Amino acid sequence: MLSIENVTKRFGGIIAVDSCSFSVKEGQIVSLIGPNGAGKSTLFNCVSNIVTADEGQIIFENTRLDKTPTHKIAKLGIGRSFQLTRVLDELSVTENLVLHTASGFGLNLFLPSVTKEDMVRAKDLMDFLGIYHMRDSAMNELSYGQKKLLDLGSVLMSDPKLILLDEPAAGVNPRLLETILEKILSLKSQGKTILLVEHNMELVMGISDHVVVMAAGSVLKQGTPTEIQADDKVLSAYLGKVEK
Amino acid sequence: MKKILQLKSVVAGYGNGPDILRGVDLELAVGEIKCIIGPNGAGKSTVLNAIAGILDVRSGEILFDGNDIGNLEAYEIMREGISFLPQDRALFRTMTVAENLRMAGYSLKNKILLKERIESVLETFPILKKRLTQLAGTMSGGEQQQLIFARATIVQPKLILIDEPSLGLAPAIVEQAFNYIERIASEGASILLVEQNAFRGLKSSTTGTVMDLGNVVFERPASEVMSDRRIRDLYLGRRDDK
Repeated sequence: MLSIENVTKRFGGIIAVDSCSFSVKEGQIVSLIGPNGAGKSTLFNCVSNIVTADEGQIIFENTRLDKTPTHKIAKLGIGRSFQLTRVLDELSVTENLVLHTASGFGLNLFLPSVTKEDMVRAKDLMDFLGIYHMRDSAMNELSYGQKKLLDLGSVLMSDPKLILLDEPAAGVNPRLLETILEKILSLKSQGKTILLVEHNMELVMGISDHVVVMAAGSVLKQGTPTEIQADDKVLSAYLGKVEK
Repeated sequence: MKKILQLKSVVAGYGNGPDILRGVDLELAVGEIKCIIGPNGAGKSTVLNAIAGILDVRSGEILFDGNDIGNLEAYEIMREGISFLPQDRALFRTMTVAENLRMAGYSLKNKILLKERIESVLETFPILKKRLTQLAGTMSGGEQQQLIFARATIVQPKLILIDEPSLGLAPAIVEQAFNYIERIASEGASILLVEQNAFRGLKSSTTGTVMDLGNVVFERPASEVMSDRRIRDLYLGRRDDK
């Protein structure tokens, strides 16, 4: 479904991503892990073309993502979250969600930009995430965890086929972690494909079909969670020694 | 061995947020170099921030030389004899090297003493002598690092806290940093450092402390930490999870 082929990204003299290749099969949960500074976020940003790869190609269902402008990538059926929750403080939970509709807004000044379908979808998602009772609440009434769930909801509003999650478990307490884990698995059972960057090994090893380990810009190892956990090179990389 | 620093069941966190440190117990002996390692989010840097007074201690005690410093302000803690090197290279980039050194010694009210101390750190870090009138931000990474260590030692602290000395530095400069750390310790200061590069950090340390999720998991002589089976579980997750 998604194929990353020999992708390289440099920032000046620094090679952040060095000829990385891996693929994500439809219906899989794939985790991208590695020590700080490995290049995970840069690669992730290359997939959503927030930064453009210098070399190599990124292909999603026959479309070159590295040649597609960021705003059109969403229309292809790819949704992504960010490490820091992105919510608009002035709006309610429902409003925050319908903001992310696939139909877009501002197309015609005289037509309502939010359709009935959008509202139904927002309600379904709030149900799914367990925040429906907060639908009219302002952002300052939400806990960090609820914002995190709302953030996940915004990614799902456009009903993407491929979901990119940037550190879904960052700053999350154990109870919420359980909820997020459960929601991600439930998305998978609905047929979604998920690529995530994450540091929380409990989450990564608990839900991934495939794990890609990056270190110093390159793919160090990929395999099942069990294979990754047993690998000495991976452990060494986390402890500061990269053996290529 | 006399203890310079003792943390007893320290609980701390940022703002109104959750507890990041959840009952940390830690001790440091005089002259010891202790390296804290652990996965992301373990609370390593937060331990240093709590000791340095950047963060309020919610409960528990931090004893320095036997006195509770848990609720002192950062500047008071510095006067007690603790220097802190945060991750973001603590120097004034738009001030000259000489000004940076004088600022570092601002708590020394005796001007003659300050002058002596500056001369003494310039002997340790001779490159700085040639750079006295240069703006700190225009020096190379390695030179800036010398200035950072010079600044930290000018007040002759009993304890130095160092957050990620290797972060963002070229390998040769990392080696230089750890040489300074070892030298400063051999001159009598105790050092508590946090390091992502566990191999490098432990190589220069006497003891290694492993943290996870706001607690100390275990502590061993630095040379034995890596062979502990628990390390793999901590960094790569428990294998019986599934």
